Amino acid sequence: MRADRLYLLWGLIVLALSYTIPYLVLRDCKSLLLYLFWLILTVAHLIVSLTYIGRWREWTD
Amino acid sequence: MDRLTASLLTLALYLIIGTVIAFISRKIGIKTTADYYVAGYKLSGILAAISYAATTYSAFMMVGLVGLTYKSGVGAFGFEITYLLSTIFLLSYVAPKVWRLARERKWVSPAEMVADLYGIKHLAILVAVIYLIALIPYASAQLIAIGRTVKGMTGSDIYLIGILIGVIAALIWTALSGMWSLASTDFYQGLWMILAALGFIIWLFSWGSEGGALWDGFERLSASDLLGMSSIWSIGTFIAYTIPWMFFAVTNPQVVQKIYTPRDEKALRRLVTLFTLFGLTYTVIVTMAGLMGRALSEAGKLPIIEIGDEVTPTLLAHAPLPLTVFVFTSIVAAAMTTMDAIVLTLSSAISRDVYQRTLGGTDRKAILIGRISILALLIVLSLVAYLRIGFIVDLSVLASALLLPLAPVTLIGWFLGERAKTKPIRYAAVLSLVVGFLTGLAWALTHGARKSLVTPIAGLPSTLFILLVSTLIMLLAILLSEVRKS
Repeated sequence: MRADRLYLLWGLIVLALSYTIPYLVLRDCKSLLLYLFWLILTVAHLIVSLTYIGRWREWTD
Repeated sequence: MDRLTASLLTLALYLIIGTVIAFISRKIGIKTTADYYVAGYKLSGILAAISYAATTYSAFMMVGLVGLTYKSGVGAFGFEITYLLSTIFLLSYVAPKVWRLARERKWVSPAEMVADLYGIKHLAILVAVIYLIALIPYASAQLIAIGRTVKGMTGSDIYLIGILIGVIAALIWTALSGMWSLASTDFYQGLWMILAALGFIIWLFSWGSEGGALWDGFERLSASDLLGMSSIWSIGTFIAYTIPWMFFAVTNPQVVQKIYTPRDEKALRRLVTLFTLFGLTYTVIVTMAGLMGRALSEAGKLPIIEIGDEVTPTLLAHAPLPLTVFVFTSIVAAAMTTMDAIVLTLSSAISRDVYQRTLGGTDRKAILIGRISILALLIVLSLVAYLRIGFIVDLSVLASALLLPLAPVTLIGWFLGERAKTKPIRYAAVLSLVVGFLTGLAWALTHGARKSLVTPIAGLPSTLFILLVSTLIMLLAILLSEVRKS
């Protein structure tokens, strides 16, 4: 599977998690856990995305 | 020094520095519309990145989002962060393709990009009209924010003067040398925005922590529903609000045009990297300010604030005067950068897509028409701002909702390549845009701007319905095209 397909899959999973976890798991959260969930998800997405864009040339050529 | 003097001096300093920067950028020669509207495809990565961020993050952040977080809790952070997650994904995935295509096909305005993708010359005019209808309220909301902020920071009834300051500065900073002066002043204003936000959150944390009020407030917050998905954020509302923003990077011409501008692939990579770092930092600061404000109200250090847009001014009333005027000016900067970019992109739609396509004028005349249209647009915006329609959140979200049909049309166009020019797909692109846009407009006219977003269509969140209808039309055409081919 090419890097771009893997990244596409990753992006869709991240977006799905962003919608589902807050409603299915953290809806009645009483601490900053929901805030931290979104923050950690974004940082993880950022790291994966920066790694991915480092390989742009490979798949745009 | 009193508040009025400090405010006027800071505003004057802000305007003078911006104008000097705009005049310096004038030294760069403008010969073609590509030079004027996309900086000749030669922007550095850092300039393109901060300009992209400053354009994206409007006055809504420091005013509307602080208030929304205060009123509705952590769900507001989710609303904004979903935009960022999606934009990081879209930019990382499609930006290199769009950037390369823009160079190969000499795209200057996003409307001509859509027309070129489907091989329909006059589709650019339709797209330009959609941009005008959708973005004039959004840009007017920025001008309203400038007027209100100037009024609020000086403590004087000078709303109209605030609007005039915004219009004159936008005219100079945008019309002078197009994208060059826009990106240069955006860079300066973007730095002002992020530094002011950092100063604001550090002060708020330190002031709020005095006597343990902040911690006491957060403990009390845990007894409410504000740290989870509060009742305001039903799943339908969350989807309805987030869907238009998820596709903002694809549907809004003022940011699509910025993808064309980096001078090389390294600069484009820097655009994506620095924008995401800016976006994450700014979003965390702004939403934390809203939560801290609410915690301080719960702890009794602040009164309960009923109007969301009043939260930031109420907090700043307790801050040292230099910080207060610095942050207020950053709100003016946030509104200015968004409005400037919209005005420039709408001007490119008028001069390139309407004037040059129908009358075939030269680039020199098109730039002149562009400058005149910037002036005309600013006059229209100031009239709308003077009449004060709606409030920031409604207008901003409605604009992106009206532009939503452009999401499937643009994305499918980028990925289909030459196949997008086959007959059923070409017709479907026009149909998808018209049906999606008219559905959104009709829903907004019949239910009002704010209600139309949260009023379901056929049991679905309205924005999701618009997106699905537009996407379905495109997918059916692709299917039909496949059947015909086989």
